[in-house]
Amino acid sequence: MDSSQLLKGVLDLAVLAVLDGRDSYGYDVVRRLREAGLDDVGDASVYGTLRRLFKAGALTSYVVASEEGPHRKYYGLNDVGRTLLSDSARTWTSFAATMDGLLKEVGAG
Amino acid sequence: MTPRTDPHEYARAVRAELADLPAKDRDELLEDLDDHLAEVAAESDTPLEERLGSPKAYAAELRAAYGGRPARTRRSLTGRAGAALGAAHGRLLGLTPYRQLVTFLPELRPAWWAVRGYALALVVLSAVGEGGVVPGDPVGWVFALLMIWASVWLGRRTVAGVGPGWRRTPLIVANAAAAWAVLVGVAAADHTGVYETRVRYDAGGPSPVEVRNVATFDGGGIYNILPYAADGTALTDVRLYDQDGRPITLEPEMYGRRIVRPCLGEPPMANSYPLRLRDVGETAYDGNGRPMSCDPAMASPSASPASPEGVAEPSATASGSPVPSAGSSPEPSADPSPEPSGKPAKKAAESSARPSDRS
Repeated sequence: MDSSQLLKGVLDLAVLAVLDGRDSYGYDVVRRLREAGLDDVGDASVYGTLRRLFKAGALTSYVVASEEGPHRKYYGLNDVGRTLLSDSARTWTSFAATMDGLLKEVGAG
Repeated sequence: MTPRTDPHEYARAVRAELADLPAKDRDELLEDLDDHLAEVAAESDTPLEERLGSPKAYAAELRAAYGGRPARTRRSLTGRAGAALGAAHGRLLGLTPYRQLVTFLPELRPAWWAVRGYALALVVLSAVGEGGVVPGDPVGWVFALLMIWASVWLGRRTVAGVGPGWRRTPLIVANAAAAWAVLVGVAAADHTGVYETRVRYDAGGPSPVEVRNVATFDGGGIYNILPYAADGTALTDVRLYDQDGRPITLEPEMYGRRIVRPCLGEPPMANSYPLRLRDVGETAYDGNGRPMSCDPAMASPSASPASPEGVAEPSATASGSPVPSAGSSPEPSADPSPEPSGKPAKKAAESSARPSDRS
């Protein structure tokens, strides 16, 4: 199965989870997602997701000047983002449990 | 093509790919793109295009992630309307009556072809000056029949094989024009009565024969007729009859006027022109201030031949010259006042009204 298809459905959740740990700028989020094992995550997908979540009011953002290289726009969760994260996490957990149950039956049969 | 390494150049290419987005969305989405791409570029010496794919693919991914919708080609308003209609059609197909109508409609096509040709013929005829819902002369009829034949021929050919798109466009235009003409024609036929003058033949029966006459002047109706002789003399008491000897009457009541009813003499003939008219609300009062059921001003219509202007403006006739001359003369003569009045006009009226008393 193409994991990039699965990723599309859970990218919001993954980005929120990464930002829940600590605030990050765009490329940092990409790197941390890849470090966590989501090798297929696309740079544009993460950037677009961050902008969409920010527009939806789930994220705060602030610019940090860096000594070398461009300014970095950091994103962090606000209350809306934290609520969204906990709701999405619940949904995912229950969905994953359902899938696990299904696959267990397949394995048993 | 050399791989793009400059993040700004890459960002420009991505922006160009997203040019169809609404400006506000695009600005919000791409606000930090340059900084972000610079960050990515600083990470490695590998060209951006190798690491991120083509700007086109990057833009498509951005679009999907940001809007949650796939890359779309800009759709015109008509395209969207067509899609909405198609969706509505699909839903309505679930209804049996609609399904039956849809299967039945193609059978009505030949009828539409005929109506289409006829309507287009009327449009052309009205353009050359012949208005109306039927052609005015045999030439018009021949033309209409030719148009119907052409329309049916075209319809049969189109059903047999639909031509390429550019050939269907004039057909669609013609269909729309014909449909418009039919609608306008129906609406016009409905409203013709508003401006027409009804000329009524009073045949003496309980229900007079009504003839519709669309002759109008300046958009207004006709409620009086002012006959003139060839030398310009205004004629009075001209009685009009049709070819069968029936009196031709108008309906001044439709225009807020009524025919004057003289108290003396015979009631006026409704077809005696010009009509002596008054406003409907205007009532004559007798000496005691009581309303009168007749109009005392005119003992006889022929006694005071009104000028055409006076007739056309009934209030002038009613309160103008006839009233003082007829109404004032009986009073002085009823109790003759000995002192000579200083008003010559009144004197003249007295002497002319009652010559025998004076002499």
